[in-house]
Amino acid sequence: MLLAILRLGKHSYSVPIVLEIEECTGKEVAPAAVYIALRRLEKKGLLSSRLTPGSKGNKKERARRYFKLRAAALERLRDSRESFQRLWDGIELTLEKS
Amino acid sequence: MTRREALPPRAAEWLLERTLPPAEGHEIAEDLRELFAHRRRERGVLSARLWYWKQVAIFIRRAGVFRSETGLEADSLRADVAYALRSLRRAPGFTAVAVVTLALGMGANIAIWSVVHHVVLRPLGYDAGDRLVRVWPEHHFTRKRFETFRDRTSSFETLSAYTLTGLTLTGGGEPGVVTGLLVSHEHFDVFGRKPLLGRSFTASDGEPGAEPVVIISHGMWRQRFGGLADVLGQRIELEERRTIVGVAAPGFEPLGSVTDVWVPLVFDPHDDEYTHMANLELVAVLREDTSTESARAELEAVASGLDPPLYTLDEVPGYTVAPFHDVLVGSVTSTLYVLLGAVSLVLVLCCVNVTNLLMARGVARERELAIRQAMGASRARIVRLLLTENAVLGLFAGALGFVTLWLVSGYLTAIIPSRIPRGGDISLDGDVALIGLVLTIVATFLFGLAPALRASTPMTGLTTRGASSDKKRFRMHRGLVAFEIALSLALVAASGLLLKSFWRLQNVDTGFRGEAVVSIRVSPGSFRYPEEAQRVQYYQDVFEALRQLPGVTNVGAIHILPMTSQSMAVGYSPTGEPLPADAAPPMASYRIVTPDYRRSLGIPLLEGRDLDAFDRSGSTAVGLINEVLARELSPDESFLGREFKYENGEAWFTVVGVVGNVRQHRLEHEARPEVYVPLAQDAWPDSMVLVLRSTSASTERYPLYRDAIGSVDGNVPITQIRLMQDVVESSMSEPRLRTLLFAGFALLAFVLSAVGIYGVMSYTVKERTHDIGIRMALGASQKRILRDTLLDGMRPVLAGMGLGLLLSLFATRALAGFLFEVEGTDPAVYAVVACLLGGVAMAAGFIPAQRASRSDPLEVLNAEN
Repeated sequence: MLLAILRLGKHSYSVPIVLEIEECTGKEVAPAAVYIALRRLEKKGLLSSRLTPGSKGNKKERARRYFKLRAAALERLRDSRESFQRLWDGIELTLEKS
Repeated sequence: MTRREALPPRAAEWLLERTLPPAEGHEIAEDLRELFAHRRRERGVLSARLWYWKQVAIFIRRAGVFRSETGLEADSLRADVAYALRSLRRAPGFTAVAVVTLALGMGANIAIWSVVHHVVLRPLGYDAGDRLVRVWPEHHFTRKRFETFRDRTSSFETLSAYTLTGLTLTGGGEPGVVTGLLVSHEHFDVFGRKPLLGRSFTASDGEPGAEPVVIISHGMWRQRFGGLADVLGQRIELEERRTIVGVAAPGFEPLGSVTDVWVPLVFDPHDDEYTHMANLELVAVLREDTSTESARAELEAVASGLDPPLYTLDEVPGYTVAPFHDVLVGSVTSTLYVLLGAVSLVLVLCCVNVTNLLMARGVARERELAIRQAMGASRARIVRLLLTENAVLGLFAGALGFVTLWLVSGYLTAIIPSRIPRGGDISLDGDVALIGLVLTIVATFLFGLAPALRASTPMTGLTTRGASSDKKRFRMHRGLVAFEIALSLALVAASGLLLKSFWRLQNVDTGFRGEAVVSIRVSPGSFRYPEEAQRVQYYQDVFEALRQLPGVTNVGAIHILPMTSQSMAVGYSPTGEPLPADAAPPMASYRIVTPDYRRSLGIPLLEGRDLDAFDRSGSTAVGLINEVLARELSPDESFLGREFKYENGEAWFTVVGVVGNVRQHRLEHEARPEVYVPLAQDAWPDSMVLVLRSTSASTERYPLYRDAIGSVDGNVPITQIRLMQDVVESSMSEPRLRTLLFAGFALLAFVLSAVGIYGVMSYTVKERTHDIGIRMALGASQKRILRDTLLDGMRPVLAGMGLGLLLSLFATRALAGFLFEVEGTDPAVYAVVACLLGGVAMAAGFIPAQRASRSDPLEVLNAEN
């Protein structure tokens, strides 16, 4: 989730986030799960959000909530990348062999 | 494409907006519309519509999250529970073993707790609560003393007297003996229970010459009077004609056992009984601001300040004022608390076992948890997840334990000895369910916290094989096994001690031969047979009638049967000289018997002659003494033909024979000095127990006996027909139950430790397959691997045994009061227990060790790569 937001940069509101995750994982994602996760992450202080006002004439310019990573989230991502790296250490060799 | 197709299903959208809070609902609906459009473009209208409905369904299901802030917590809890259920279902073997193990411990605990709760902890439910006290001096009160205290003390709001008695009920059906309480008129006020029907007693009911009245119990009203309201004013023959003035409230059993009738005590200062018959016990309600201590002080002050003095002795006896509740249940409290201690140990054992299982499972789940942590789950979150799993496990086990207990509760209440006060109140009710819940929570933390904390240690899953955390884990497993063995040893040792004690108890020589002996209580009563000579004649006629029956070899009678809780004793002078008035005299049990009693019960005659038909009223007073007494009176020479004297030096009877010792009350109590005097010379008892020896003790003959006794006088109640062996057995009901329960706990401890050791050894072997493989590849023999693995597994067992020995030396002190002819440190018991436990541990460890020794090194090493 955090990665998806990071990748989307300034376009990160719910719809592209859902699509981005679906594309990366190749699996269907329930938007409800994404909303709940976003709320939770925001509550934890990992995300911040702002609501952009829409303009009445243009349909594409409806109100949207954009999300942004906070510093703590970046730190978490770094940690987690290291963990994954460690998880993979040694295994890659085995995987390649088999 | 129509406009309708371009948009999501309207009904679904409407539903979505109604389900979610307005602000968010709108935002989400807009987003979903965008996603719908995307999906429609990619997969077509139908698929998109289906997808949309599915998403709305998901939103509806999780709507709670959006509605409230706390909803988030609730939702994640629900998710945790769902996750826990799923994960438990995935490991059915683990779940079953854990749930059954815990359920065993919980069921046993709930059972004992329910008894403790209902018998000891629950208040009596009388209005006065803690202020309800019992008052007693060293001996019982006379009516005169009771009245003096009632009138002259100010510590008590109400003071009442009672004495327990058996009353003969005749007329209207089978004659019978009912349990009666002779009470002062304050009795019902003290307990704050008005009769259900009619009135309670008044002061005038206790005046001499007042109309005899009675209050009957609720049970008797239902059984004998069909629960009809017109019972008031009816008369019953209760040794004299009495008018029923009330029916007691249902369940009113102030002494903790069944009472059938209440009869007013008559206070007649001109009656000898008034000043001399000390048979009253007092129950009182303390004043609000009075302590038991100050009440006691006041009683003593009143007693010593009276003029003329209340006591002829110089010394005023001490008084005891104690809460009624403590007095009522005090006798069983220690047994129950010891059982509670033991059963708690069982629960701890169960928890340790499950802890071990969880730890082993924690290892298997390390990767899953590590991934969760890597994905951002905090440690607290993971601990919560695991605790939820444990709570689900605990709740299942608690429920299973409770339900099983409920199913077998009928059987369990049947084995509760009738002597336990308030035993009838024991039931599985809401309180017990609550206790069960509390136990579940405690147990859940006990078995679950350590594994949860451990499993959630940051990145445990990422440590490599053989690192220090592995060693730590092994140490922890072994520590738990040692702990388990220590607890088991303490439990098994306690049970061993009790078993040995019970075995000793069973082999105690009662002093009589109870086989083929039947005891029957008959109560001719002083009302029906007022003269002593009439009663003596009645018994002779009954003996005659019974002797006519085929197979009956001897018939005798005694007024208090051995091995029952009743007693009667007299003070005597060991030297024959009068004892000083204030000295406490030695006491001898006092039994009134008929000549054939000794032969009927098979008590040996050691010296002199038996009582016979010539020992009549008017002839020389004679009696028998038992061996203990004979030795005490005259250690060196025979006491035959000499006079047995009361403590004031007055002669009572001439000793004509010495008989063998008989255990009077309980098997564990040594025989005490005892005298037997002939009924013909001392015929005051209005009921006697016939002791009948026949060629075979069969219950089929009971009707014959009844008929024979009835043929003499059909109006004499016949009660308590029992085999003498049953009388002896029933005196052992408490130790038997105690021993049985402990044996059960010990068995459970055995099984639990065996399972625990097996589990840990299996786990260790599995974790070390690699090492074992290498060792085997390097040439270690199967035998050697087997031996090493087994020895390695036995190390914590040995440590646990050492710890357990120390623990049990300390713990068995609590058992000291229950042990008979066995020391708490009995080396034989400990040796057997240690061998048994060691054997079980060895057997449990053998299977995994064998598995290790049989592994194929090639396979193992291949699998590792």
